[in-house]
Amino acid sequence: MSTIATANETMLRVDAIDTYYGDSHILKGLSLEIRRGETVALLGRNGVGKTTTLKSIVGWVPPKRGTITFDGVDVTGNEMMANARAGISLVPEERRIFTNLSVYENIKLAQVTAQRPGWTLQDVYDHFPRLKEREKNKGDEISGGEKQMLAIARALVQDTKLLLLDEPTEGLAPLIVREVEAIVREIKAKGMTILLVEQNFYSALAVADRCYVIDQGAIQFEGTPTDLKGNTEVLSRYLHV
Amino acid sequence: MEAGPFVRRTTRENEDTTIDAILSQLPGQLLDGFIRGLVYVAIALGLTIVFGMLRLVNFAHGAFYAIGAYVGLVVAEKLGLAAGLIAAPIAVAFFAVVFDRILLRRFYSKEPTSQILVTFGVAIVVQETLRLIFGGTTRSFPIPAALAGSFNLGFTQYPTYRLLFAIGIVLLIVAVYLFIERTDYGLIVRAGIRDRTMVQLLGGNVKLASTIIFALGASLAGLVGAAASPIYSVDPNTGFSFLIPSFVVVVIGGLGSFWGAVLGGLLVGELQSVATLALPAASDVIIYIAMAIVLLVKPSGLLGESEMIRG
Repeated sequence: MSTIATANETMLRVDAIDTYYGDSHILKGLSLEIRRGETVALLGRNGVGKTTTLKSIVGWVPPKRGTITFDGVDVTGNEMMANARAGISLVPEERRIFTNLSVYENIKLAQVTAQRPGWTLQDVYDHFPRLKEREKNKGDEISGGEKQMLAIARALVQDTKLLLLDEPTEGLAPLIVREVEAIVREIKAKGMTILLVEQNFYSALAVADRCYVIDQGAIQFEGTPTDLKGNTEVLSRYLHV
Repeated sequence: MEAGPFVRRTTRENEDTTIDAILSQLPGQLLDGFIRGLVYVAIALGLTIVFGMLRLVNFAHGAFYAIGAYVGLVVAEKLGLAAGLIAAPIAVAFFAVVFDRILLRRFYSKEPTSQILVTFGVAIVVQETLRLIFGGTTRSFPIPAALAGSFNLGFTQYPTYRLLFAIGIVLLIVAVYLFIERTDYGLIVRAGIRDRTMVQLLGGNVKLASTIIFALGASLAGLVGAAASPIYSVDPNTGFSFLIPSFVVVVIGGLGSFWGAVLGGLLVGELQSVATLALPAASDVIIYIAMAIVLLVKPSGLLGESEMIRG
C-alpha cells in the first residue's frame, strides 16, 4: 500500500458511474482512468456526456452509482470544495470568470481559496503577459482568449494535480486557438496530468497521449491518437469526421 | 369689490408663512432624514449582501434589528449604553447563526416564496415573543447625560447623540465596505455573490462564508437597533416598521449592490423626512411611489446589474 507516486500510477479511476440530471440518465456505466503525467482527451459529439463526466469527477453533479477514486482515495460524492482542495481543478466550458472582479482579483481569489499554493502571480504573468497588461480590467472587459488564459491561470496558482479542461478552444479565433494549444502543451511539458474535453478533434489529438471516445453516456473507444486516426469506423460513427 | 383681492392677499400671506415655516425646519428635517436613511442603509446592506451571497430573501432581517434594540435596552439599563452596544450585536449574531443552522439552511435552494413564508413566520414569532416578554408598550432608552444636549452646526442646533449616531453608522458602513473590498474574505464574498459554484470549484468554503456573512449582516442590524433605541422608541412591531422601508431601499438601489443600498437608503430616508414636512398626507406612500418609478424606468434598481449567474 505504498502511496509514493510513480510515473505509471493511476491518478484518477472512474469506475462504472451513472449520472443523472433530474430524471435524465446521462452517464451509463462510464469508466475511464488517467495515469500520472498523462494528457487524456475525451472526445465526442455535442450532448453525449463529456461535460457531465467532468462535472461528476469534481462533485458538481455527483454520480448515483459507481465510484471515482483519486490518488487512491474514494472521492465519490465529495463536495466540489473537497475535490478542489484535494487537487482536482476544473476549468469549465463557460470559463466562469468573475465578471465583477478584476483580472488580478480573479487570480488572487484562486490563491486565497487554494489549499496549497501553486504558481506565483509572477509565474502567471511571465507565462501570460496579456493577463499582466489586463490585470486591472474587470472580468467582462477582456476577450474570450484572455478569459480562457485567466481560467487556466486560476487553476495553476493552486496546487493542481489533475487539470480538467472543458473545451478550452471553443469560440476562439484560430490564432487564439493556437495560443491556447501552446499553453496546454507547455503545462503538459511541466508534468501536469490533464483530462481534455474537446470537440475540436485535431486540436485534442495534437496534444493527447491517449484518448477516449464517448457516445450515449458510455466509452465506445479507447486508444492512442494514432489508433483513433486509423479507425475510420469509430471516427465516422461517433465523431462524424 | 374689495373681497376678492383681500382674500387673495391673505392666502398668499398664509402660503408665505407656511413656506417660511417649512424652510426654517428644513435643515433639521434633512438631517433627520439623513440619519433615518443611514439606519435604512445599515439594515439594507445586510439584506442585500445576504441575498447576493445566499440567494435568500430574508423577511426576518427586521427582527434582528428589534432583538438588537431590546437586548441593547435591557443591558444598557443595567450596565450602561456601551455594554448594550456590545451585547446587542453578539446576541443577534448568535441568534442568527442558530436560526440559520436549524431552519434557514433547508430553504437556501427553495423558491423565494418558501423563503419569504418561513422568514416572515420567524419574524412574527420574534415579534410576538418580544411582546410576551416586554409587553406591547413603547420603550426607549434615555440618552446618557454625557451625550445629551445639542450641538450648534451653524445653520441649526442638533442633538449631540444623533450626530454621534450618524458618525458611528457612517464608520460602520465604511468598515463593511473595507471588509468587502479590501480583505481576502471580502473577495470570497464578492466572488460568491456572482458565482457560488465557481468559488467552490476553486476550493472556497462558500458555506462558511455564507454563515459568516449572515451573522455579520444580522449583527449589523442588531447593533444599529441598539444604538438607535434612544432616538427611535422601540416596540414589538419595530422590526417590521424598519424592514419594509429597507426592502424598498434594496429594490430602489438594486439587489446585491453595496452602493445601491447606500444611495437607496439615503434617498428613502430623505424622501420620508421631507414628505413629513411638506406633504404629510403622502409621507407613507411616497417611498412606494418612488419604488414604482424606479422599477418602471430601471427594473434592476438604480445601481443594480441585470445579469447574475446563479449557481
